[in-house]
Amino acid sequence: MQRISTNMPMLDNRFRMSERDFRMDQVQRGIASSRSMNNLRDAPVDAAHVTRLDSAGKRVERYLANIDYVRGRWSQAEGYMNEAVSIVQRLRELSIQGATGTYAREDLNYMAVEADALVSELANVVNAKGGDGQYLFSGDDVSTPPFLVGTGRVPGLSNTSITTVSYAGAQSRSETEITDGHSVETNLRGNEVFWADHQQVFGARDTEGFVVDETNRFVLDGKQVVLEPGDNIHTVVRKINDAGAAVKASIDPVTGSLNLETTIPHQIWIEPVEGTALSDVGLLTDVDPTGVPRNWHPDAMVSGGSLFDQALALRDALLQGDQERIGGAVVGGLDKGLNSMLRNLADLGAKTERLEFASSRLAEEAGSLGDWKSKLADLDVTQAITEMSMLEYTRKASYQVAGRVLQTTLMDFLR
Amino acid sequence: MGSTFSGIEIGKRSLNTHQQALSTVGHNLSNASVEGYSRQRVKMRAVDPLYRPQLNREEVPGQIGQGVEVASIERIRDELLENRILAQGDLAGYWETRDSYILQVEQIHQEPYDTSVRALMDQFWQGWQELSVHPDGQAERQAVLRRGEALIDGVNQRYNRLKQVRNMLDDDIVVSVGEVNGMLAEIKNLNEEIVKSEALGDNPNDMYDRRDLLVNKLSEYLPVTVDNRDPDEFLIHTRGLHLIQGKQVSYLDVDPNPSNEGYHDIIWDANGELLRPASGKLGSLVELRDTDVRGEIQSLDEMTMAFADLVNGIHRDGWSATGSTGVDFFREYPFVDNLSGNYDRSGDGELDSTYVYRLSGIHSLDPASPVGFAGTITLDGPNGEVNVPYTAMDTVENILDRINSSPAEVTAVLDRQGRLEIRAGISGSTDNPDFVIRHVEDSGQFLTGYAGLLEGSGPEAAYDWRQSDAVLALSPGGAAYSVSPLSHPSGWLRVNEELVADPSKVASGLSDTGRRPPSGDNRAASDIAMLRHRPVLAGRSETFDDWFALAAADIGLKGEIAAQSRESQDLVMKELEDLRQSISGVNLDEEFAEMIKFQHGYNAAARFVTTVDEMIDTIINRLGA
Repeated sequence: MQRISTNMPMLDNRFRMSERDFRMDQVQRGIASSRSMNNLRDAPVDAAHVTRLDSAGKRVERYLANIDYVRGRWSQAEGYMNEAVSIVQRLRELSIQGATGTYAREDLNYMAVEADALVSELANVVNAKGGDGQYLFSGDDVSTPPFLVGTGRVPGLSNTSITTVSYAGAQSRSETEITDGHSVETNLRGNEVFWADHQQVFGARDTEGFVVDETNRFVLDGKQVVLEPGDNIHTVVRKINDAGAAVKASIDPVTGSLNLETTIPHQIWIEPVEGTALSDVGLLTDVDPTGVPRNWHPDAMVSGGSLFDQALALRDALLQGDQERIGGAVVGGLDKGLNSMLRNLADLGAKTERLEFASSRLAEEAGSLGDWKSKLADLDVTQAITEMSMLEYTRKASYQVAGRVLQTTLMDFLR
Repeated sequence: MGSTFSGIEIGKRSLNTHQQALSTVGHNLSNASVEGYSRQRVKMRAVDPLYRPQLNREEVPGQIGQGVEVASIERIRDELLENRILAQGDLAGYWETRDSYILQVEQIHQEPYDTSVRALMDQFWQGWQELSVHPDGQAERQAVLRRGEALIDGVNQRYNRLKQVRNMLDDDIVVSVGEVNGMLAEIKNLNEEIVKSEALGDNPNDMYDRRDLLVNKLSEYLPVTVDNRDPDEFLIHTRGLHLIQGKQVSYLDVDPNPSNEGYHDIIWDANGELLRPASGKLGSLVELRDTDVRGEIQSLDEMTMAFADLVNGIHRDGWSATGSTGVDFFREYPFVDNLSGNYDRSGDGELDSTYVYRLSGIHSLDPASPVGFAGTITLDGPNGEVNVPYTAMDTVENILDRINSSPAEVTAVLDRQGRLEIRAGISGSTDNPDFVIRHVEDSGQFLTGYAGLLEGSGPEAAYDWRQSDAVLALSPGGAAYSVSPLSHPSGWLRVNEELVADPSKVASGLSDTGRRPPSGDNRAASDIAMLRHRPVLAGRSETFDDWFALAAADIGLKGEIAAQSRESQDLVMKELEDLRQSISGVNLDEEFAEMIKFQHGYNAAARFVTTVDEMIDTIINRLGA
């Protein structure tokens, strides 16, 4: 038997009471805040998970917003591209019609008027702005119109008409992150979307014996190419071909010039950074080699142009009544343009689809992240309330017992 | 034959003894609630009988009893139990202190809910994402700046609160040492009193109780052992050294330590030697201040420094919509203001050290390509030199991994252009400054020709911080370095004022050509936003998410252990206290029973005296009348 001193039951009671008060306070605070952990120590590992889940949840939300933004931009762009396709289709109809040889010169001129109107409309379409006031087709240079439209008087047409259209936008290097570490190219560039034909550039000089004499760096369609001193022309060709751009370089077997050709219809974009090698081989101009895309050597032959080049060719041929040209080069050019546009539309559709997939996957992920987080961080109210009532019950019981036991001593029975 | 009056003497002794016993009962009853009081018992004993068995003894059968006397008044206590309580006292003090301070640190983290630094950082990354979607937006630039400021406020605040806790701990140490000294002085005084009292043959029970109580309290501050085998000298030891030896006291003192930010060391007052209590409240306070909270601050510093450096690295390369470039996003004040990182460490007016935080090589490296030659890189770690060997077949990545997993207090990474970058980390010992690269040496060509960091191989061409102009050892013509912060980065980081003044200078684009990129180029913004989940930090946590999760788990686990240990230690102490109460505590019922017993004894003695009185009366007044 253990001896019990008078203070022992009191001390014991006090200890148990403070312990219970602490637990009741914990439960009560949990219920008040609806959190399952008041402090990190309540569930440190869960807390670590929750921090990750919380951050991951916010990231996913952000990615969804990014996707919505890009998708919005692209669907607008798609609308304009569809419109451009209809315009080009109409132009093609006109060219077929005009090439039949059954129309008189005046009829062709009427067609030319329509073609001119269509070209104007096409110019509006390609310089379209998105909802946030940014141009849709100017690559990264979203604040300037992608196509510079030159107007003048064209013989045979009454009003001032479009005479030249050239790309004034930029390359598209911006990417938007759609999931951790995965991005999509955000901006569309008009010199690819509205390009009709493969571009070919024939250098102006014979490159035989050419050797690079200093370090040269230039950016070809957004890809860095570095030429080292001592590289001969074949090395230069290989370096361009290996750069990863959709451009193929070759040496002309006849003239010995350095030629470039696109493998997907678009405009070749060369930005020199240091060195003059490309000017030396007669590809770029010496005067202002950085003024892309008008930085080709004056003697270099550049072929393959945008949709406008084909559309304007049709208009002019119609005006001149050159049915042979209409039926030959013009129809062919418009066909290529149409093909290229349809390919770009399909490409955009495929990319949009990827976004759709990513978006629905992320939405699902957001839901499950939220669930998981809530499971770890939020209070199980039923459990908390049950615990609370248990604690209340034991408190009542212990108070009652304490009240009875602590009140009697021998003193009560002594006279 | 006994004396006529001996009965009165016997009765008187009995009356005295019982009175003494009754007053002891009263003493017990009165002190029932006094902390540390042990109940006392009067030990009664029969007085030595008359006539020892010698030749001159009275020829009567038996001895003549002489009544009762008080032999001693003793405390009822269990010496072994008391020692166990003393032995547990320092643990109780340790866990109680640790529990309450760790809880404060936990609350500083404010995890896992929305007010934490992590949530602010999430907002910051969110801002860059928004800017990456609208690279030419001014509102987005404002948002990035404001969120950057909010984040830095959050980091600063976290630093300040941790610093406050560290200051509180230091104050607590100073106050506690004072308390310990006070207790020691009091014990010494009691010792003197007790020895005097004992010399007179007394049993100073209440002084014993008070001394035991003080020793108990002392044991909460320091691990102590008590030795009272020598009745003249009461000894208290801590870690084998005397705290108290009878009248001799070794007091403690505090001494500010400049290499530990002026925080106080606990020293012996007599010889100034350092005292490192292993446990108890003092041990706990020192550990919390110099390990746990210091570690929290260092870890926050390291993350902040890496964070600011990474964001700045991209931001400097980036171009704003107005064409500015080369601007830092965050600024650290104060930095070492010498451009070569030269610094006067000893404070004697001469530049004697080089404080450099980051070194970068010239050449772009491919992480997967083998280096093709062997050598040994020598760096500095918490316990001196760290050697990292490499062979010809090792790839760059292998070597970097090996450096990062070695104890060397640096991190080696490739920057965005693939150039080797060596960054200083926090230092384990308080003798070395944080964020200072201390030693870089390569016996082979990896750091020299290959990475273009050092000019030459071997110890002569090594980079070492213990000299001014150490950066001259770097590869000439491009090997870059940046100087170290002089104070805690987490306390002194700010958003660059140049940007606050002109938000349009916030960079969003990158340039491939060295010319201003178009306004819609978002690559800088998007690269910065991607820092969030890329493995950019080396060491235990690779991404910022990892860092925050680990920081929360770390302090949470510490808190969990502290709370559990405190609870179990409380239970142990309670059990022991119960046992002590069971032995030494006053039970009123018992005392009342004793009281009645002694009361009756007293009554009986009085009756006995009356009877003897009547007997004498008979003899004197009635005889022959």
